[in-house]
Amino acid sequence: MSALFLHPAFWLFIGIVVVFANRRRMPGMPVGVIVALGALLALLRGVEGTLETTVAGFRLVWFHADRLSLLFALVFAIVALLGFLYGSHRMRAGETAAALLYAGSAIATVLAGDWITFFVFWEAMALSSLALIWQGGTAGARRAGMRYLLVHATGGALLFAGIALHLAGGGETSLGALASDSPPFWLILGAVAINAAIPPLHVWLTDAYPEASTSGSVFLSAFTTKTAVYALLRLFPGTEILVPLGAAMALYGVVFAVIENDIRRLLGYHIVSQVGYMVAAVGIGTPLALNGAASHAFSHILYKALLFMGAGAAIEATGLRRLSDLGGISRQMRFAVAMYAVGALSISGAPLFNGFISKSMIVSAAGEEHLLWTELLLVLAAVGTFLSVGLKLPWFAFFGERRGVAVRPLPTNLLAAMGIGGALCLLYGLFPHLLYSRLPYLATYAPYTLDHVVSTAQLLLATGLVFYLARKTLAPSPGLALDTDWLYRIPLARAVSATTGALAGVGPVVSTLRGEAVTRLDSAARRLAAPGAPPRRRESFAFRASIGWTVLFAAVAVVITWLVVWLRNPG
Amino acid sequence: MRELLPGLLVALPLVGAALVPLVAALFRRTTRVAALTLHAAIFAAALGLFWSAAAAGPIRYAVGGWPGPWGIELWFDGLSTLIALLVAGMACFASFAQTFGPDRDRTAPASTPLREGLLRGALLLLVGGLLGIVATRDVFNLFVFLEISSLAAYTLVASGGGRSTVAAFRYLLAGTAAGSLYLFGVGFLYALTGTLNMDDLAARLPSVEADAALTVAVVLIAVGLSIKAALFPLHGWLPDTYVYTPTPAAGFIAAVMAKVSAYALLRLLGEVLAGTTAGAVVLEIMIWLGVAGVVAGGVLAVAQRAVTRMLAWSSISAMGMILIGVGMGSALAITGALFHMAAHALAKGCLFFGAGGIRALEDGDGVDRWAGLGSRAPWTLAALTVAALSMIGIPPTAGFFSKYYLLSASIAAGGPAGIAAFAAIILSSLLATVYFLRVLEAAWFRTPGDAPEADSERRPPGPVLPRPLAVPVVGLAVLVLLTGIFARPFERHVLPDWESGTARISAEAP
Amino acid sequence: MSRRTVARLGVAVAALTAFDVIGFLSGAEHHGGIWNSVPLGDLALGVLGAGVLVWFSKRILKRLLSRPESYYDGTRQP
Repeated sequence: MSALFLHPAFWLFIGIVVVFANRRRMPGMPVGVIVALGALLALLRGVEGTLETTVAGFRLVWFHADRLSLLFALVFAIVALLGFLYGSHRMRAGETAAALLYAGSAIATVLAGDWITFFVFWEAMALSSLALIWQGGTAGARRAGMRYLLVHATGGALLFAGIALHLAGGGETSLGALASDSPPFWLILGAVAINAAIPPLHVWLTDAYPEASTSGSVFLSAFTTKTAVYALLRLFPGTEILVPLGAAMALYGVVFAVIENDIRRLLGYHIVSQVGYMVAAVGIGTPLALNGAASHAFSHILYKALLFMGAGAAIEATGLRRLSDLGGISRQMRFAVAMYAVGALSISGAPLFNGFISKSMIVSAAGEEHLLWTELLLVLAAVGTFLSVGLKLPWFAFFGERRGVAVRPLPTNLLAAMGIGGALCLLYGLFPHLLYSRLPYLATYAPYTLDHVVSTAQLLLATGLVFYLARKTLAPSPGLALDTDWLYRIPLARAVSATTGALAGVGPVVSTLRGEAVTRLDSAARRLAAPGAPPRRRESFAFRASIGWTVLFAAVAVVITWLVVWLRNPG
Repeated sequence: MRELLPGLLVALPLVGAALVPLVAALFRRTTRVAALTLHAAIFAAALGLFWSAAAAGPIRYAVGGWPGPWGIELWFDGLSTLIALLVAGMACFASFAQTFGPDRDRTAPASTPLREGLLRGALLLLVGGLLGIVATRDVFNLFVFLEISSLAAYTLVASGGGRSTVAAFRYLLAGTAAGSLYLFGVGFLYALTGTLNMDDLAARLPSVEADAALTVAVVLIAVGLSIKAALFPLHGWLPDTYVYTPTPAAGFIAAVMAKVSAYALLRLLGEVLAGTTAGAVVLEIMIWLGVAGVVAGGVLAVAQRAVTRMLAWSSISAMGMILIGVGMGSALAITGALFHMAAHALAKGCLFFGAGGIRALEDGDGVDRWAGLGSRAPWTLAALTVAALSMIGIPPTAGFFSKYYLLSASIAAGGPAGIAAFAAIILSSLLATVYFLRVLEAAWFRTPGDAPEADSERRPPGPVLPRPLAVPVVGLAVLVLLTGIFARPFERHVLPDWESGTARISAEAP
Repeated sequence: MSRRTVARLGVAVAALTAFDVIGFLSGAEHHGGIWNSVPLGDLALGVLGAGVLVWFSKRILKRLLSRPESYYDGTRQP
């Protein structure tokens, strides 16, 4: 039993029970902070090892802690703590429970040691994140949630199919790298690619994340994509196709972010872009690259949470979410803007911030493998990241011209969470060995060399120059940009409704074909049922015949024909 | 005791069916207690047989002391005791739910004590018929029990009055056609082999393998039972029947009726007739029709706006899946099929009790009627959520393991049919996610104010379902979870009996 | 751009260039692209890259993909 307390997710799941038991007496959030702290303490001991139980004949390795899984679990626990602190002034019991389940299943997924446990928590993560999105409470959140569900249900089905094929083919029950070019390999890679938001399978992210509540999107930014990165690291290290995919992804997100107007959707596109770095690094597959992917995931979770907190702060303070509506509010929320700036410098990979110590590792790994184009694309993506997250978003949202936007004061807990997040970004940026000592693979790396620092500084400076020159062009304008979601929101939706419409239309046709006989039987039966009652309107259900009836009669006819044939000349 | 149980299992419900209306007429008050006691006793007998068969091997029971192949035999092995347990267990819940009364339609006749007693008797008769189908080893006796169960079912379906009468009439048409086809088939078999006992039949069939009439017999039996099992495209009777049946009966009929026919298909086609050429071809076709049913049922469930109708189409999808397992016939596939029968029966029973009750009390069947139920009745809705997750196939619910077995069996089977079955089952999970989460979203995340015709004053806060329905809903959800968690021992219990059964039959063949 | 801004930028660029050249001459480890090994290569890449990005996104992509906010309203869609 005491072994359970080792498992950080157990703390969070306990929290769900506590939240529901006290849902009328106390708000949910303090519970979230406390249990997240418990989970963090359980992890800080950093005990490696394996715990398993045999349930119903299945060997379930529900705690498999090695350096890789502990690294992810640790940062998940940290960000859960930050998220609960950030939202504690407004999250209710339902949202807290969803967030607890989400964070807990993400931690349990990375600590899972076998396929079944992994799948269970992977699915729990999908469902609880959906609940979190629906907690946004708007009609937009509801519809975006349905689309999110469609995509993730497909992903879950692919994963299930892949695991079933893998296990049926005599594969290992414990998680491990898959044999390439087998059907399970591609099915599972497809499922993980959906969760990693690899274009063109990425729109669920930019579609749904902005629709959650402000605190909801802090949680969402952290878990799903990074669990997918963990899965890539664990299952697909060195898969070459991931290199071009990752590089393209890094640039894709950046390009769309430049024209995006919704602040949280803009940040969502940068999740796509940053995860692209990690995907490419997993594809490169050298120890340095894999370390880079793991450490960049670690850094990314911290600074991306911080950025979403900053965007959320603007939304909390003003109630507005579009760049074209915001502007000139920095004076009333200086601390939040300062912390946002820390996050923005981190994501841009500026020296002294935590993005630098991990991003440069990936770029260097690409350089060492002489992947020139990959390196170039990643550098370009870094430029674009600074351009839109570091310059465009804060300029048009916080600074810029004043539009007379009313600004409400921000609650202390929100600012405290941002402060801690900013402090962590700086801490890891200033003392890289705090992170490097936890990395899973054997590779040494020194980030603060002269050429790294100078080269990064030059890139950022050049970007600043371009922004200064092109800031009129970059001014946001209302409207949305089509993305691959158009494919299922317009043509696929039309095809589906046409198909079901056609199927529903079969009924009347069939009943006409059936002729009067059955209709008369129906009305006779109705007279039996309620003698003297006025005849019901026919179209309500008398004509709701189904295909089955016709086929049934056809089947009987066929069988009788057979009978006749066989009886005439038996044998 | 072991000698008495088989007779009791079939005799108790049939005798009870006559007794309960009598009790209702004479004592009025005690009807409910009497019926529940009877159901509990039947369940206890089924449980006893289940343990007995698990501990000491299959039980053969000669009715009236006349041994086979002349007399009627009952046969209890891992498979039949499991389905018997399922039927008897579901019947306990249904009997509990019957207190709710058949009041979903305003045209339903007022409930009187005698009427209640008659309906309770009909449920017992239905249970007796189904248990008879499960237990009997005689193909004609199977027909008799099939008709008993069908007649009882028509009564229960029609008891809602109004539309349910018409639905019952249509069900009667289909059911009678099915029964007649089956009877024709049995007649052919009897003419060919001169025996009605299944074991005897299996032993004699190879000698008449060349006869064309055997093909006709196999096809007639397969078509007849497939109609009852709602194999696509012979499912026409199912949606209206499930939707218009009064809730307590719907929970039971939707849960086990079609499954027992599928079980009969498994016994006859999968075991007795599997060795014949026609039997093998029919089983192959059944896989493909099952695949079509899984897909069509899922797609049409997505297209529905009314919750109970959506559940009905989802049943067609599930029956397709079970018959895929029957068609494949490997030990793994049979395990999957049987386990899916159990998993689906528990979950679908739970959902029909819940959805039917909500439809009756909220005065409508649309998804919007579920808005805000989560905050009004969290426990009931949590139970329905568990059942829905099982239908989707989320571990550790029972539905996950049944799909897991069926998928493994499809992979093992290979070939185009195996691949198609694999893809269809995965797709059905996907579609189920869509149509169930649509309802769950309304229940948990919407407030009644969002509904187009919101009249929140009409709906008082408090429990949504009355106790007669809430108890079965919660109980079944717990069972769904337990069945999932204890999936593996189940496999060990059922499989050896199936393998030894088929091995015995092939060994007895000269 | 005011004259002061230009002067500040000029100082920064000059300082970085000096760093870059010192680093290059002192034999600091380089790898990968040509922009790493040529003095001021990074600066040029940054200006070019950011310029192309802005031009491509704002001038081409935006024209192709931009729609009014109400684009999806009223369509039958999941």
